[in-house]
Amino acid sequence: MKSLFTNLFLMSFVLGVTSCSSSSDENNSPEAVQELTEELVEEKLNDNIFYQVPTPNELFAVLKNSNADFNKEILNDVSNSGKYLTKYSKALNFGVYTADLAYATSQGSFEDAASLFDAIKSLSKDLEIENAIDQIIFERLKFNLENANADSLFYLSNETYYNAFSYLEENGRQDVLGMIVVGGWIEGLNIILNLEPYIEDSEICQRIADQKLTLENLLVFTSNVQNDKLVDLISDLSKIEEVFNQELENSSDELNDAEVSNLTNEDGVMVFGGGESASLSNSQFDQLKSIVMDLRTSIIEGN
Amino acid sequence: MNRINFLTIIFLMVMPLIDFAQSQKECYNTVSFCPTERKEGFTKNMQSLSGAFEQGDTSIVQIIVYKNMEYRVSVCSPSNPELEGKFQFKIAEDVKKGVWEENTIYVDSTYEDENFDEKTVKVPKLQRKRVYQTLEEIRYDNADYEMSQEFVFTSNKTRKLKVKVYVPNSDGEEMSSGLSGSSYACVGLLIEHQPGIVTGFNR
Repeated sequence: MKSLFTNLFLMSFVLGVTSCSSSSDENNSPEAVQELTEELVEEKLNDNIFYQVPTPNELFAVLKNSNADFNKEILNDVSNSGKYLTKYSKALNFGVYTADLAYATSQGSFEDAASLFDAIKSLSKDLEIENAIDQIIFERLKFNLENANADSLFYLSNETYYNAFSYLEENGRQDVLGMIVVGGWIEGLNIILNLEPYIEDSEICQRIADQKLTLENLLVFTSNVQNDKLVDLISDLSKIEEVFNQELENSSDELNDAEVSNLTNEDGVMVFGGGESASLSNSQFDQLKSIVMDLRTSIIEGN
Repeated sequence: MNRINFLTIIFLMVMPLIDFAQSQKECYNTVSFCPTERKEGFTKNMQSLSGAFEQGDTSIVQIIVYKNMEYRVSVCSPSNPELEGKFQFKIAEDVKKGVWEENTIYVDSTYEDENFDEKTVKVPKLQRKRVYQTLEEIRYDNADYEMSQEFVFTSNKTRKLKVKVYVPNSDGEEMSSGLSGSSYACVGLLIEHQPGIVTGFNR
């Protein structure tokens, strides 16, 4: 986070120097000259704001409309769930499996959803959060799996994450909460990076680029967590932040004024408009894919 | 005697903090009791927040809203029904705005006079600097909509928004005992989402 704001502080550049006069007697009389410069005023972090992070469910709800095929190969194998021995690896992979579950249920993959629920249930017991995911939810999950009700399953996968999150928050277990959120975020990003090859301005590439905003909030969200291993992992996220920030260096129109406007759509719903959508270059895509894959591999191997 | 007075003062200073910490603890999950719109297709969003508030308090929550997703924001306080319908909330966005700043400085300029002697004079130089500042733009204020306690919106791009919730002063009235005898109220900011309707062709 620090580096993001440092970049903003330092980002000040000269557009050009323009002379107002080009007359022949220029050297004989004093003339006023005009100098144009451009600078971005620093952006500060506000301690009185709660910075929230969207869940993988929300990300995959958006992607329901994309036509990318379901890719089972990118899920963490559920047989790995038994090899996580520490609280750190269990919590991170709880986050990983909940992201996988969100992806599987968003795509209506019932078989994968069933085994992922079992893995999550097992880890929730180890993490002592099984009370958060009560038996009623599992029974409803089972019922909807048997009845192949994709929408209800997706809804329940969100409930599972929501209940675990609230339970940990209520019990002051910020370290486990931070691990779950980071694990889920990395897995969600890894999934969307592997849905399709790079296509400029595609729906999926835009969602990947949007993760820059999520990462910024994630870094603030986890900044107070007191766990050395998680702190190391969060510091590794700076590599991802650096790739996202490359757009600032490459973009020539970054300092355009942002015009905001509100419209109302045909359903009477207000639409917040204005500003440009985030974008991602092919090089950024490749770099992200490699960095995220390494981080994710280290998580699912239980390191 | 002095020692007793000192301890009493410390106790009186610490008591509100203990009270507040206790209130925060009791207010976790308030949002679970806020009325939802599941029938309309909305799902609870993890960016919702619960907390203990004193009358007149303001809380700011920064959320991320995705493009093509519909969001519903509502505020509730099941423990303090007298506050229901009175919460003001605004949705704001930090946007970059450019303004021109002008400044005249004087610099040395050399020229030849009618006798071809070199002269140096000070000439004015106008510096124009485009300064980009982050300004807060209010996107929605429920005070403009008869204090409606819920708001549904969507966005044309993924963006960060700030939801500001103001807990009303109740003009000297005592708050109902929603919390263990304290002056705090439990307030839930419920955020829900559902995929919006996508228009146009799919790839």
